[in-house]
Amino acid sequence: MFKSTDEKNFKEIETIIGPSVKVKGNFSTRGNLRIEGELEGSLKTDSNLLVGKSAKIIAAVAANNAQVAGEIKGNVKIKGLIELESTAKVVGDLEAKEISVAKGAVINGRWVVGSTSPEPAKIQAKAEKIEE
Amino acid sequence: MYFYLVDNFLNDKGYKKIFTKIENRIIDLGINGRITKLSLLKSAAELVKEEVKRGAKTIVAVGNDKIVSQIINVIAEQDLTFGIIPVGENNQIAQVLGIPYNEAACDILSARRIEYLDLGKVNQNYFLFKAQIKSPEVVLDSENQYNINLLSKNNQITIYNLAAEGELKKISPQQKNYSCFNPQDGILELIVSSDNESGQSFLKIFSWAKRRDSALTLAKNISFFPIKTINIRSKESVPVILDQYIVTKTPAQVSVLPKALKIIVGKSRVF
Repeated sequence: MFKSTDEKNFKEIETIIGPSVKVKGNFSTRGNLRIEGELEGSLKTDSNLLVGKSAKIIAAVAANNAQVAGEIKGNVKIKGLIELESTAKVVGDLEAKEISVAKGAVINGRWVVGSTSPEPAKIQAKAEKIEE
Repeated sequence: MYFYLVDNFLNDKGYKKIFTKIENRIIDLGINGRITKLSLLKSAAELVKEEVKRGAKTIVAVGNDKIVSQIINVIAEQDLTFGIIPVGENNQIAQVLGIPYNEAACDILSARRIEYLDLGKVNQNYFLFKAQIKSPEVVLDSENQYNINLLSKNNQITIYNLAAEGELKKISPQQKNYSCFNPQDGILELIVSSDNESGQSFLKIFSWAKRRDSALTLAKNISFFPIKTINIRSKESVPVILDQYIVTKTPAQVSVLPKALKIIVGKSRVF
């Protein structure tokens, strides 16, 4: 799962917040974004977001698609697919059109998953820990 | 009208033959003009300004990257054409621009293949290649939206407009084919790197590359931000080194000036 999405959506990364950097404030970009470091504030990208294993995000997050292996504290809104890796931890409400959750991923908050059409078929759930 | 400003290291006997050949080739090609050697009495800036007042429209640096950087800082944002005749060592700029050494460069000048390049500006100084800060004790503020804080003492910041192959090898040792940062995209590339990049996995950066097949492969511990402007502040003033030869200090305001340099390039330029 990780590799296929990596190839499809994350080939053209335009910004990298590396592990030795902390960004504070409202970070917004049009291109694909990879985070391995820390971010505090708000985060928006019109393209795809990749949150690495070592990343720590305390922010409201908005992106087109996302692949998460690190930690996010804040509400997450994804237009398309969000993929949560086994090491992912999301503390906050999560809204996405599609979701993929690996064994071991932690979600602490409300989910809204389904179509983004005017009459969405919503699946709502509360979960402390997802296990297959 | 051409004005040739010659670096004073060409006074050395070892360069006498080369300089004579350059002079002869300039006359042969009909691109002759006033030739002045740098001296301790007048700076490059003063000499260039005087010649521009006299009507010089094409300013040519004869020497290495040092004199090229000095002249760029005088003629940036003006309607002047810049040419280079690289002589001696440290000629990365001419190399990237596809300009051969010594008298062979005169043919490039004569052909007048002109490109407009972006320049980086830090406070009142300009750079064509890069601005570098080796101190990690700085904070970078981006247009009042966010700031970038460095977490490691080994970090250093480099802001690129254009980079030679040697530079890219330093930040991307696994790369097989090198292109360069695009100096005509109106964007600067800010890289935060640390001294220790061995054993890291790598990923590819495409955004800056003019050709899609020439993506830059970076170590995963590198941070990479495409920027147009950024402010650099620090508790104590630290040096910002521009193109290796010009030094300014923080606080520093960094910006890109699109198409601010009109320059004669060779066919084999790398962008």
